[in-house]
Amino acid sequence: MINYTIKRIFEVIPVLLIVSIIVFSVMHLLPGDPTLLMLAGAEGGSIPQERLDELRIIMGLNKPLYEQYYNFVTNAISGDLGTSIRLRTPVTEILLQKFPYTIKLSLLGLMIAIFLGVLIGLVAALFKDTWLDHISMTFSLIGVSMPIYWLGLLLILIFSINLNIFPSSGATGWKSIVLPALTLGFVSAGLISRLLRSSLLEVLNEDYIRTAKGKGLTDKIILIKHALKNAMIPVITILGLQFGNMLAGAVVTETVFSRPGLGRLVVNGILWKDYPLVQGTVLFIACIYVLVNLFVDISYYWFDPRIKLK
Amino acid sequence: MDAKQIIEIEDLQVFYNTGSNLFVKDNNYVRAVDKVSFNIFEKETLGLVGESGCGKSTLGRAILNLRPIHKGSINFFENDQMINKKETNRLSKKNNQIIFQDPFSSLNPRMSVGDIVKEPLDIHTKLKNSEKISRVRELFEMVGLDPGFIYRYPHEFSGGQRQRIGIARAIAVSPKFIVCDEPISALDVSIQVQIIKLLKKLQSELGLTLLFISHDLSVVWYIADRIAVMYLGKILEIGSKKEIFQNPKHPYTKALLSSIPLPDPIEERKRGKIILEGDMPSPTNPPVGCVFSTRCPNYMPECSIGEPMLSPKNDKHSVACHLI
Amino acid sequence: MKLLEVEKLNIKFNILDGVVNAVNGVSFAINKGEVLGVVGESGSGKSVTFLSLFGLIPQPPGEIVSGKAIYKSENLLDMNKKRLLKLRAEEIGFIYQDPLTSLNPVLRIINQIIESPVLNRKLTKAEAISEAKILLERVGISDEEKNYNSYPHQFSGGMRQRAMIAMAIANKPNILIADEPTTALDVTIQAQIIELVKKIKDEIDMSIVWISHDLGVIAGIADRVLVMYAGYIVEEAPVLELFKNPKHPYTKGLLNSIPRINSDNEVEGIDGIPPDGLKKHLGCPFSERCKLVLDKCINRFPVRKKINNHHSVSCFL
Repeated sequence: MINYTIKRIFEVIPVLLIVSIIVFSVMHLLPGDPTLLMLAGAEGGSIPQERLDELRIIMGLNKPLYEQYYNFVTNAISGDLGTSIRLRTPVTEILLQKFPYTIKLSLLGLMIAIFLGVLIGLVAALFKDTWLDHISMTFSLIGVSMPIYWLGLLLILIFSINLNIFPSSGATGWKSIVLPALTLGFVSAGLISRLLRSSLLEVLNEDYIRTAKGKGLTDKIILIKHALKNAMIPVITILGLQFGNMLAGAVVTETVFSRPGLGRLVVNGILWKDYPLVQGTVLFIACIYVLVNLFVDISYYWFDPRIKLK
Repeated sequence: MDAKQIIEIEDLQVFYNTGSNLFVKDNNYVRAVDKVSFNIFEKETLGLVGESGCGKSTLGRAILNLRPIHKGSINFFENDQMINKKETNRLSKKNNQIIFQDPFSSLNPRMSVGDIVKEPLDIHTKLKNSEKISRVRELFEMVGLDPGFIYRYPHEFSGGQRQRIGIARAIAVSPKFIVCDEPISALDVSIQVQIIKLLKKLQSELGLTLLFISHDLSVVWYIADRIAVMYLGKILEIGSKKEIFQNPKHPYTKALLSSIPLPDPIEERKRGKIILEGDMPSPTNPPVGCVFSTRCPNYMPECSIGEPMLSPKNDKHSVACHLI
Repeated sequence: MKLLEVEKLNIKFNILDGVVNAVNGVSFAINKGEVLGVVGESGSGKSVTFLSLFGLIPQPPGEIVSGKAIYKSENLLDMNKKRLLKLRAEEIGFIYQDPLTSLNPVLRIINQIIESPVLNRKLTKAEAISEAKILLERVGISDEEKNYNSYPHQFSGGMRQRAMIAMAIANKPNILIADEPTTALDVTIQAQIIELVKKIKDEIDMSIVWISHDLGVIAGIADRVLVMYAGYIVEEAPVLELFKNPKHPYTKGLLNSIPRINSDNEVEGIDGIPPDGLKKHLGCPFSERCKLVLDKCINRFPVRKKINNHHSVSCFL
């Protein structure tokens, strides 16, 4: 087990390295003079050359690329992600302030996704080929196909404007998180329910289920103790990826619901052409994603004891 | 009768590496075939028997170069002259063929059975298409199938018929040597007999040499001339059919023979079976000394110290045991 | 004394390609304390017959068309779900062909063994565990911590089958249904398992139904034998009688398909291919492969006739 964990941790390092290269390259390989773009956006009008040169030196753009990259990485490791041009505060500070919102939203979204997904998938499998199955699968199809922003807007229309139960924006009070979390979760729920349905149907045909029946166990026990545990294995596998989807989806959801968070930060950063901010946020999100997947991989052991021995 | 040898195997070792990758080096080897030496003679059927995990399948495939060899040599002969490596590689696929165990997965479901049997002809011969098709029809007849079936697909045939198709494919290019890897284990008992009778007939008609790998000793009795008994990567005993069945020397061979259920209620219940304790050890961690030492009813302390060699060499009946 | 009596059981499967008549008019009895051997090849219906009696064949696509199965004066085929569950838990045990797929891979073996005792005999977990340890010892799995907490894939094939046997006899069943339990095992391990089952049978006094295609195994363990082909019972006899004096051409063909070691007798086998379940038979299902076939064999089904008190066969000859 320890071996496996260490192995997985080591494997994470190259991934993070590649992410940092990509994030770094975005800024430096985009066409146009970054300094011009940044200052023009901030101040407007034509800018004297000395200001541009000054900024260039401050940002270290006159140094060779590999040196810039090296500085970027070493700074990042020590927690310095640069300073936001627009907000004039260190990026790291901004991130630490905003990310609890996104994490809360993503986690809640994931919980809703699992709850809804498992419920729908279970019902569909147990009542296979009946109307319950068809309705459930239609729900999941909608979940998988519907764009997040559209779902978000739809929910706002129904629950905020018409029924006035939940607020359509902001981050105050528990009510404000319900609709965004539901929006995020619904899409994943669609995927999880389909996966669980097919996985469960497959498991129910396995020999060990027949053995359990032969022992005289009730259907309920067979389902929960024998079938579900096995059927959830593929679902667990994709949970890490699903969390990544949550983080990505948070970008759109936070914008639609005007919630503070990393997603909104990235969007604003792009609009402001605030490169350090965008760079830092993207790197941060990528790291969270990789770490969550690592965690899921390691906890995978719990569910499938056959992995332990490989 | 001084038979000519056509294959000579010396100290062959085929190992599998388990679980090694970029970050973690795993020194666990599966010692599938561990220092095996024997000869195969022209036109004989050598039965290779053993239980699961003994390495018999790996050995069969290694001879055909379907498994990488760790150490040792496999030499092919023709008219008592050893064929050099380059020639061996060139002629190998044509002269040496294989029949697989599972009739359901060894035929490509997307090809017609005629095409499946024609494929070796496409690769190894320069015949015209019409000649190839007529050869395919001829092969179908030889294996007892209606030549009119050549345009059908594998799923339209029963297990036994598919195995016949596999045989037709194997003899298509007139090979000299065929490895039969448990060719009837997946078939019903009443069909098994059809297939082994077919193999026997083809062997004598075409002058084939067969390596017949099986765990079923009754079938091996029927078809083999000589028998080699394998356990955990080693050959424990090798000899003529009569010698092995009527005068087994190795304790494992004796136990194996006594375990075969006889279709005779009185005999079966009367005779005392040698019941072995425990299971076969893992091939990644074989016992020190004799590989059978952990389960041998005749165990002596020296069995754990030195590994017994097959002796006498090149005799009609050799055993690897310290008792002898 | 008859424990179970089955009369004219008919089972079919409704599949995409049509209807498979898996079991046709099968009638037999299981007596107390005996080992009933059931011999047949693929398509014989031997497994379906016994699994269906206790509700282990999914319906759909299976369908018990007609028949009776009287166990302790109740008809198994009419029983309600609850009663059937209780029966499976307390009176019938099952062991299957592939112990690897028949055991739940994510549950520890000891937990799988104590499940039924805890549920049905209301034992506490601790009581059930100590009982299970004794059971495992009895089936030859030694008293070691690592064995108890193991998962199925950590055991060898032979040990897994022993664990399944322990699981099956945990509630001391009256009947043990063994569906090809040694087919997937090596021959030396097979011998171990057969010895074990014989020993346990003496200790518990249960009836066993041993289903197999291997006549040698049947010869060694069965008291009476049913020979099945294409869903029909073609011959029934005590074991000695069957091997010495087989009447049905299929039985004779089977016996003639096993090469006898140390004898130079030729084997004949049986021509043709295994039965196709989708085909409907007007007459005898074996007629297309029978060397002694007569015209009437194809058109009329040979009803079972008694040769003597215990030996019956379904054949016109």
